[in-house]
Amino acid sequence: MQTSSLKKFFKLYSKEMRELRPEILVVLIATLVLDLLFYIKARQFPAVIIGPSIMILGLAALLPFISSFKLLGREWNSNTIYLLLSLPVKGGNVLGSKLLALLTQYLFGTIIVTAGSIILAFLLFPEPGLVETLRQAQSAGIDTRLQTIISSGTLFYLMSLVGMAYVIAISFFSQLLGKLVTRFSGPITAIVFIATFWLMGKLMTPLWQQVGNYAQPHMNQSNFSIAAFNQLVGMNTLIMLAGTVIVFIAAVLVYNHKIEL
Amino acid sequence: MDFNASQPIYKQIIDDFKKKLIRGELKEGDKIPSQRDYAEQVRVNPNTVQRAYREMESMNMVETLRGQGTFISISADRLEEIKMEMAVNLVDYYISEMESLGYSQEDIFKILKQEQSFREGERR
Amino acid sequence: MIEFKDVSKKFGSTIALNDVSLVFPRGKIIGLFGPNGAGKSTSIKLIMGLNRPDRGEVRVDGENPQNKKQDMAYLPEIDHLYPWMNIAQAADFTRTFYADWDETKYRELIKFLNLQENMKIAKISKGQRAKTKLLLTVSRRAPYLLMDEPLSGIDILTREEIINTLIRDYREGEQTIIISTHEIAEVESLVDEVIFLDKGKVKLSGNAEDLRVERNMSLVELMKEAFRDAN
Repeated sequence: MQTSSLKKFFKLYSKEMRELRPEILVVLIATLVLDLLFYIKARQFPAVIIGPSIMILGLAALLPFISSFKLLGREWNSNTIYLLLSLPVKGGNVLGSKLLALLTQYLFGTIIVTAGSIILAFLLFPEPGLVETLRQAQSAGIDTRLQTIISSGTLFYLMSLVGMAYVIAISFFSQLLGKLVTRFSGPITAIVFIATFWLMGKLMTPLWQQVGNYAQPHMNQSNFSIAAFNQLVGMNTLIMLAGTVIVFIAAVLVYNHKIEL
Repeated sequence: MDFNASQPIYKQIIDDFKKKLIRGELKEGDKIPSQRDYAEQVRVNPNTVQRAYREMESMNMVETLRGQGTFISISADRLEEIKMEMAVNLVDYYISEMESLGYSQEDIFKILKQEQSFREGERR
Repeated sequence: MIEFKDVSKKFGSTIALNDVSLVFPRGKIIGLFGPNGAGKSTSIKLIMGLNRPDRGEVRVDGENPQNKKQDMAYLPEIDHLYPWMNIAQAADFTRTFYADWDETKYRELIKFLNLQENMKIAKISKGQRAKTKLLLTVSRRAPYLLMDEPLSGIDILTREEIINTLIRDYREGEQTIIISTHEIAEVESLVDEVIFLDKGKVKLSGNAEDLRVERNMSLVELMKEAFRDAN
């Protein structure tokens, strides 16, 4: 029987996705319901489209963070941690599959909301339609602008993704440290979370400042460069990625060497 | 088969086969269950059954043929030996129990004779 | 072979194991007996690598238990399976992680134990859950099978099924089974070796048959005698 590491990882990942099914459904249903409501009511106030989109976007962004506590905490509550710890897999795979599932949840959530908004917009304003809008933009020469907007937008989204991974890594680390004590597990988790957040912030701030200083001359009113802006976002994302990796490795070390039942 | 847990089980397995031999339920050349089957039937650790079968082999009661199974392989003399051993053990046990209750040798044999006549009477 | 060398383990202020040295020989069925709090569960968790000793070391085939998890089939006392899975999903999950999964045995065993693949773990009875745990562990050809109270709270008929399963699938000499239980009477005819633990120390250990010859008593009686002095 083949038991490749990839298959094992994927099996863990599918299990985590199955646990997150209700949350993803919540976002899907909320989007459908709210968009439907607005479709019916918004003929009078078209600009109010933004309302439901932002609300559910916030939900889609917040839920993975909340779910990170469910995915790990529930293993202890339902005693399935006995199964998990007895499997021939190391913490990197266990925590990695959970992280990936939560990021997938974030991806799905944001895509659902965005798609919902776009569809809603074009349903409410069938004129001039998607293709026509693009063609108009192209002839007006805005397409290059559109491209850069899309690239900056994508970069921003990437940064938010890394930001989400960062917060989840800290969540895992604090929960695991909380599990090392028998009493006051909850308060310890909260304290470690805040402390780690603060500490990592302190470590990353000088780096951000460096990047900021470097980008400053390119970013004032007269000389705004999209490329420089993208570079700024890119560098900050990399810094946050490094921070995420550090905290994630710390969490894996705790899982592999300190967690006991 | 119910085992007396205060006695070694492998010996009780051997005794069980001895009794079957003495009663004639098992004869020379008969095939006995495989170790695995026997272990399942009587619900005993297969290691214990293995020990019993090996002992029976060294006691010249059975023989295992590769790929075919285990068969009763006992000479007439050996069977007589076993019959005698079993009988003597039972008598030994009886006499020790009686003595521990305080009966004298005389009493013991008197009671035996009485019991014998009583049983013959029953038969008629 | 599993070895404990001067192992001590504390949980808070409770001493679970106190300077314990013992050997679990390979290829035997070993009974781990003792009253509550004797250190049986802790010993099994140490072998599984779910705990680490405070002092001393535990070695499985000479290695750290953390590196031997693929050779262990673990049957804990608590319900540790994902409640939303059904038996088929639980089997599929197990199958993915262990190269020693035996699909033929699984198909055969699920019939023998009267279970169905679509049974949801959260919805079945305690006896069926016990049988499911057994199904998932015995469907593997694992060198080590660790069972922590496999019979407790189980009705008599199910117990018989469990013991019959163990006997018919046991690979003597190859497979090592460690059973920790209160129900010594149920496993009298099953165990080769016995270890009696009390308050974190080894009270008595040896070969079951040899002990019967020496002491002229059953394991149950031995246990009672061993612990009479304790009180």
